[in-house]
Amino acid sequence: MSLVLIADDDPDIRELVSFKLERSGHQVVAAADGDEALAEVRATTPDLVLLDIMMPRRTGIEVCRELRDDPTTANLPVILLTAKAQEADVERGFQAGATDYIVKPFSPRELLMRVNTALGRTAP
Amino acid sequence: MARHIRRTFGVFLAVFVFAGAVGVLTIVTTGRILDDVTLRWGPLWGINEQVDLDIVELDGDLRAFLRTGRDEFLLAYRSEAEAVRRDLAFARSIANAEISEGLETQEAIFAEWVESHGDPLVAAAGRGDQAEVSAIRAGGRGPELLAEFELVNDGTEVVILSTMTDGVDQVDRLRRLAGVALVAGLGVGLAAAIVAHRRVKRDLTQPLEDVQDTLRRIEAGDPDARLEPRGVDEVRRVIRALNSTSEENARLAEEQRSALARTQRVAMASRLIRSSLDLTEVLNAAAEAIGTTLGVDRVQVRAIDDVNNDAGGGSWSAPGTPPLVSTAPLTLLTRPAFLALRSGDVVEVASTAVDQVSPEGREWMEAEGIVRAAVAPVLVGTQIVAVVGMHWLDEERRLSETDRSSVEAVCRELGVALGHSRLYESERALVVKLRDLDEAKSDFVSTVSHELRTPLTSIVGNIEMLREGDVGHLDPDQDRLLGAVARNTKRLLTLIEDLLTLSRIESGRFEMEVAEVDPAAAVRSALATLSPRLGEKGLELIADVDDGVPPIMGDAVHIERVVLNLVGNAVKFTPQGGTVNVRLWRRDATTVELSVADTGIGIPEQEQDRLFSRFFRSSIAQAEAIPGTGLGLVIVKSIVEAHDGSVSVTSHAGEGSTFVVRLPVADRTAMAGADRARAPNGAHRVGSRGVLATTTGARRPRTTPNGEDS
Repeated sequence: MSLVLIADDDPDIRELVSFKLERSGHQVVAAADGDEALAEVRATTPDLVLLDIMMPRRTGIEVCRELRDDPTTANLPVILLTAKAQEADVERGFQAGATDYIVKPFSPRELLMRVNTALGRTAP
Repeated sequence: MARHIRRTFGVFLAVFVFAGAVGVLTIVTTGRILDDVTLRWGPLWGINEQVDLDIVELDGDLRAFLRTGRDEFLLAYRSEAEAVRRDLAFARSIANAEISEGLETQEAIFAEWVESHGDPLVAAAGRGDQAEVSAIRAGGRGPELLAEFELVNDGTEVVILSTMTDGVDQVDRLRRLAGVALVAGLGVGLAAAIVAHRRVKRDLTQPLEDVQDTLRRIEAGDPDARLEPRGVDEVRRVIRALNSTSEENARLAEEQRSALARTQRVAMASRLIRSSLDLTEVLNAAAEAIGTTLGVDRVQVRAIDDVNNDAGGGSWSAPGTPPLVSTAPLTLLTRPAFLALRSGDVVEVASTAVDQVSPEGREWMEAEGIVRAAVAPVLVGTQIVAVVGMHWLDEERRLSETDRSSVEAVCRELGVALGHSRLYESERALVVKLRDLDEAKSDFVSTVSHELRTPLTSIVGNIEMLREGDVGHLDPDQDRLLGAVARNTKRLLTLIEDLLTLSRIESGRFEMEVAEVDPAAAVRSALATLSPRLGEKGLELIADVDDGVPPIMGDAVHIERVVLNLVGNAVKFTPQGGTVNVRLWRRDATTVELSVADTGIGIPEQEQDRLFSRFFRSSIAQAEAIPGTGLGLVIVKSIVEAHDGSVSVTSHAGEGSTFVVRLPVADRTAMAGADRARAPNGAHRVGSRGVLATTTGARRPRTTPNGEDS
């Protein structure tokens, strides 16, 4: 049982990800923008964070950088979700300290596999 | 100086004449004196001596006659007496007065002796009168007279000898005098020569050498080459002429420099005018070029459009001159004066010229403080497209001939530039409109594509979860229907991806990761991605990939995309049992070639030239309902051309198509690649160029660079 935070401004994507992960035995908390994501991380201390890059107030990259700058979350696995498959974004994501990235549109199955990999296990 | 030289030569001439005269005089005088000595005083002396001897002999002969009475003694006596008289007469004829005196005395004494002694004795003896003879001898003065004669003869001899000595002495004196005179003359001549030399050196040679130096300086281009006038008048005149030549020279050089600078400024302005197509920039450049070239206070250039309206302007003011407050009225000149501009001439007017300047023009000039102005037309053909106004705030200055030609040169350039500028303005307006349209379209496509992905993520994800039984198992019909939704979602996604890629390429946001790319690796990677689909359709893939091809410069992802699109098309358009032939090889030293040949439906010849246009789909593909976006080949072409390559197609309907892509080899490695190709490593190359049979293996879940599931 792991706690995963999904931060995305699109409620359907939050719903999709939550559904798939919960069906696979994870607990999920959701956030609709960058600020909310940071607040949730501090409030719930999740095991993994899924961050959409294009979010209001704070982008996923900014949130990722904040998390890495905070010693208590410096090692927290972060997977970026991006609708832009451009290499520049991916590069900036890794520079900000992201663990992995997934290009939208993604397969829920693949998402689950990547989450499990990042959590260090092959099955929930 | 000439006077000095003439004087010096006069001195020389006088010395020569003097020396000559002294010489001639000396020779003549001494000659005469020596002639006298040899032809007169010498013989006189001899005659005088002879007379003395003759007298003694005569007396002896007289005595002998008297004693013997013999006639021979008488004859002797008589001939001797005659000889004495003759000699004395001759001597007197050549003697001078002093000697003559002695000779005359001798003659007188002798005559007296003959008369009183000789002849009476001879007569007495002739008669035999001895007594008489004795009486005469006893009482006569015969011996006394002889003694007196002797005395006078000796005296005359002394006089002759002294005269002779005097002559010789005189010759000696004359010679000495002549010598002294010659030496003195030579001394004077020498002194004159020295003085002349010094004067020539001071007044002629040295100044002339200075003139020569100055000439050399002028020749070397020294503008300050001048010389203080000195020396003789002639040289002074030369030096003054030289100085004014030098001044003229410096002035001409300065003029030439300023003419050159002016030419350069005009040329620079011309370049600037020609290099720009922006009207305001052009007009300002022209105004500045004219202003900095000419001595004017202000320049205003105004363009006039087809209907004689103001079409913009540029202006320039000299430093320290207040800029124009308002622009000149277009009707500054009277109608006739304005029309005169059509001939291309520059019109120069004073603000008071009623026949040339219109009332409002005069008012404007007065308000701006302009006293004089020159107006030059800029013509395109015979149409005045702009006027250049040059303004003076004072009365003195005018345009010189060179000023006019400078203005005309700039106006000519301006005419050409304005002609271009007008064309350009209309074209630019069109281009801007087209570009705005294109940008709006690209942005639109990009935004739309991006915004479509988010909902598609939701659709794709939910369909997948449904079909994979995450919310319970579906029956076969439900699964089939959802399968159709999934397929079309994928198709929509492909279209969106293609549109997005294309829009990125075309809006210039094509971000290429330029590095050395191994084409063989890109081809193998693409083939690996596509091999499941080949298998599904039962196609045979013949891959002839030379792993030894040199790298190219480019973006690996894009190169792979090219191969994916081409081979993907081949797979898509080739019916079951067909063959896809992929070949990668080094065409020549600088080119790598990829050819993708299939045995598919082919492309009708008349459609081939539209094959690389956006959304174009061949009639056969449409007829056979083969899905596609009509963007794949457009993307191929865009990427290949971004890599300085080319793509071409040969195809026959129903027989198949062959696409050929040529890409340039990376420059740096061109040489190394050539070396490698020459190296004797045939075994490696044969081994790496084997035929890769298609695999018909099971589907493997995978993600393509587009997020496309195969």
